[in-house]
Amino acid sequence: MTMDLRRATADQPVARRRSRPATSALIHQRQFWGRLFVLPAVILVALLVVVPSLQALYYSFTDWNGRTAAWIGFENYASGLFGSPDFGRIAFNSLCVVLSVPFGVLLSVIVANLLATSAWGRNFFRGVYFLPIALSWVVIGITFSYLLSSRGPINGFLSGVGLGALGQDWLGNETTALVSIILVFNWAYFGINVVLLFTGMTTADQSITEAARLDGASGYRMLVHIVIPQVRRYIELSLIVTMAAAITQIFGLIYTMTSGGPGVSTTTLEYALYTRSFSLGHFAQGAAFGIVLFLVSLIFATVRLRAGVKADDD
Amino acid sequence: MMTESQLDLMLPPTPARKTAAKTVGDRLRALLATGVVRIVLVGIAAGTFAPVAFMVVKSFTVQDGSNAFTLRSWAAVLTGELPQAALVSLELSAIAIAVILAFGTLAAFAFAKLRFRGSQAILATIIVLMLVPGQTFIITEYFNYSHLHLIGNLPAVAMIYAATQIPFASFILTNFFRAIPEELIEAAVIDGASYPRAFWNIFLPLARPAMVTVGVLAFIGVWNDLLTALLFLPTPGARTLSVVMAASQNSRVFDVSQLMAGSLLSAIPCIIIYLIFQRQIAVGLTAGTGK
Repeated sequence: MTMDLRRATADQPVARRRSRPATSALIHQRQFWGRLFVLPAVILVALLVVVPSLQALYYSFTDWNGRTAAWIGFENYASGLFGSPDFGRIAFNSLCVVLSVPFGVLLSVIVANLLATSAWGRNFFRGVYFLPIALSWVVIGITFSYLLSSRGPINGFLSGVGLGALGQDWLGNETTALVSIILVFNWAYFGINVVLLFTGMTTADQSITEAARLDGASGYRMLVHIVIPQVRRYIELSLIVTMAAAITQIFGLIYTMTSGGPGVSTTTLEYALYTRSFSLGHFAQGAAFGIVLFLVSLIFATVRLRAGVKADDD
Repeated sequence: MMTESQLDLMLPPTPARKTAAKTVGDRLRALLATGVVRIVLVGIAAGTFAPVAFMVVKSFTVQDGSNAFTLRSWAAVLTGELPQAALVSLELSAIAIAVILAFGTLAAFAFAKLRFRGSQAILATIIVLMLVPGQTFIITEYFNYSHLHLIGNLPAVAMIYAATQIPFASFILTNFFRAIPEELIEAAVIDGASYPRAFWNIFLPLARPAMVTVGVLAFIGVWNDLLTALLFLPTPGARTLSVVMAASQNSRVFDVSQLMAGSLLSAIPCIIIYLIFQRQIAVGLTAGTGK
């Protein structure tokens, strides 16, 4: 092997292990085309993701108003975010949505297990449960705000069964509005998680399940001791994906259902970023919210990575 | 970390139990259990489907309380702003998907099969970028676009969707290309094919299933997005379906029947895509499980 070749393959253990007839011209070609092929993607992502993200990081430490920006240190974070009177409620709302996820996923686990153990109409049910993935938050939000409105079908149903006293403008009250957002969010993700977990259950080692069943295990014991340990990775994935969505992807739902109100009772961190920037014009504070959202996503990813490493160990 | 009961459960089944004759009581209990499971499954299906069924029914009924059948709402929706908005959404997703697939497959091929110096560092960076939520850079992006007079420019806005989805697409496609044997490219190159030719003639056709998964997820992402379209395409002729629907919801111009017809209209392309590519969507979602 020539010097040149060894240098070129230094970071390619696979190529080094094999003694294949490669000329240095070929290696040069590979380097050249490799770089050229990643170039379009790298340029596009650098220009439209990396650069504006770094700008946001910088502007979050300034009093940026869209035109001029002067350095003000942590002022946006200190008084604009964590010190602002609304922040407690906004953080609480985000936390409530995130903490509702484990309950939603638990229900998905149970239903996925029912689906996996009962062959009856399996494909039909899977298809129906998965359907909300095709519906946008805008469509879901519009539909549910009508269902939940004071003269909507849900109140109609309540008075129909003699519970008319419970009827109210569900999205007009601080508590019920937040609960409604949380329930609709979990409704939308329920079927997606069922399908995800169902996939995990049907691809898991069937012999263990079968052995346990023949040994008389069933129902609750089967679920807790056999099924859940088997699909642990899928449950983690469901939790992380759904929690990340709860933090960064439900703008459309809140926009169409409550616009963050009444007051800030359904404003999450993500929605606050929008209102601070585009309703109130505090763009620097909006940028700071963006950085906080990134840090939260990073925490979720680290937890997921940790979980993955642990699973690889055993 | 196994409990005793778990160990018990893992023992091979004893023949005695396996062949034990079932009593009538056992059968009844099994029947009851199956019945309960089926009722739960049907109930949940109804709960999932009810809002959609409600939309369909409501879009065809008159709003004066008589609940008579009508096509007025659909006629109004189809002659209004929505068809134009649907075209915008379609154009936006088409450009974005084309760019995502073109740039994504090229990059993934290089990451998986050309492994030039520094390629793994770039791949690691791209995977980290999957974690950056769109909101982090959307405000500064908005001002950058505004300075360049690109607000309302459809192809330029499609590039934002492409850039945000390329990291995920490259990740999935790289994993796919890695699974293709190394010998394939070696053989092709030794036979005298150039790398671009090997990519175009051999690897791209093989990547079709992964490209379908990426394309379908990208379509649903762009079609259903609200925030980016709301900010970057605010001009009347360039608004997407989601933006038009969200605006009509807030201004209460539409009546409920029209609102439901419009929602359905905007959901139909995604529902069709979903019905055709259900399996690919599920595959894309499970791609994150690794191993």
